[in-house]
Amino acid sequence: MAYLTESKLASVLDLPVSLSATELKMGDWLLLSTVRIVQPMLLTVRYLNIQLLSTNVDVTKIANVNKIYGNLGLCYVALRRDYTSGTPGAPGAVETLVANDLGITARDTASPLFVTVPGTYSWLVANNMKADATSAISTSTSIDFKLSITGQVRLDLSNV
Amino acid sequence: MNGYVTPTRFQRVLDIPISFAQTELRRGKYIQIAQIPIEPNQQLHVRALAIQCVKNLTPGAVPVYATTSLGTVSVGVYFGSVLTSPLALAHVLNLGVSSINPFHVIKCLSAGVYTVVISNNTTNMDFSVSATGVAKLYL
Repeated sequence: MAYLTESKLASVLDLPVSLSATELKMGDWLLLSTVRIVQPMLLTVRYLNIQLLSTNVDVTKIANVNKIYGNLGLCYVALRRDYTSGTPGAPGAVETLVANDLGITARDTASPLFVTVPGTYSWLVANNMKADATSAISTSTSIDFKLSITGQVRLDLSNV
Repeated sequence: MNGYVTPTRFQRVLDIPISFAQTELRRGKYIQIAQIPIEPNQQLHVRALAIQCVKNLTPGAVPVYATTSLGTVSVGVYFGSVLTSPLALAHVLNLGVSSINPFHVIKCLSAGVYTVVISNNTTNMDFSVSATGVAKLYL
């Protein structure tokens, strides 16, 4: 393994993916961060966590019918390439971090994601809830979450 | 600048985050999202700064610009308080993403306070915007 040089250190940037405690309404989503990659850059995604701080309903009453996407838990952070608009949970996300309960959900730091394909990469957080008449939660109730996100991605500008 | 980096040197190089999650930015408004004071013999290098205009909250409106060169919304690094004199600037004219060239390093050597400001440069449109970047601080 080679030593780190000044020029290498200067070309490696740690970019934030973060959101301070924010209330996310039912079905809504927010864009957190954007990174544009061109050749010969390398983006390493390793550290990301969501903390679901609180909800306005009893979490145990949330049923599968309340989920917009059955596999994306209560809320999720999605990494998408060339995102412009639309629900972030739609098929095609590069990766997702799914929170299924209150508390902290962290990405596995032992399994980094390496991205070299040129494009604009965006991280979005989404509330995966919807109203449903068959649920124990009234359809007039908006299932909202208060959550916070902390993460970091490493951009190597000269991956040669 | 091509020598090896010692642990002592490594400890004195910091990546300062510039993070602004999607927020509604009203017409003519600006928000300071970071401030980085530099002392003599310190350096600040800016190589990554991007803005994404996610949503136009006043569809159909024709933009009236306060300052044409700043586009509709922009994010910049400033030394001082004049919005039209950024050291680095990423701006968009419509929805989408814009970023500075990471291979052109903006080096800040003068002592003082550098700020990162995101601004809506129209007088009649509101936007939902997000900004991401990093500034490398050499202590």
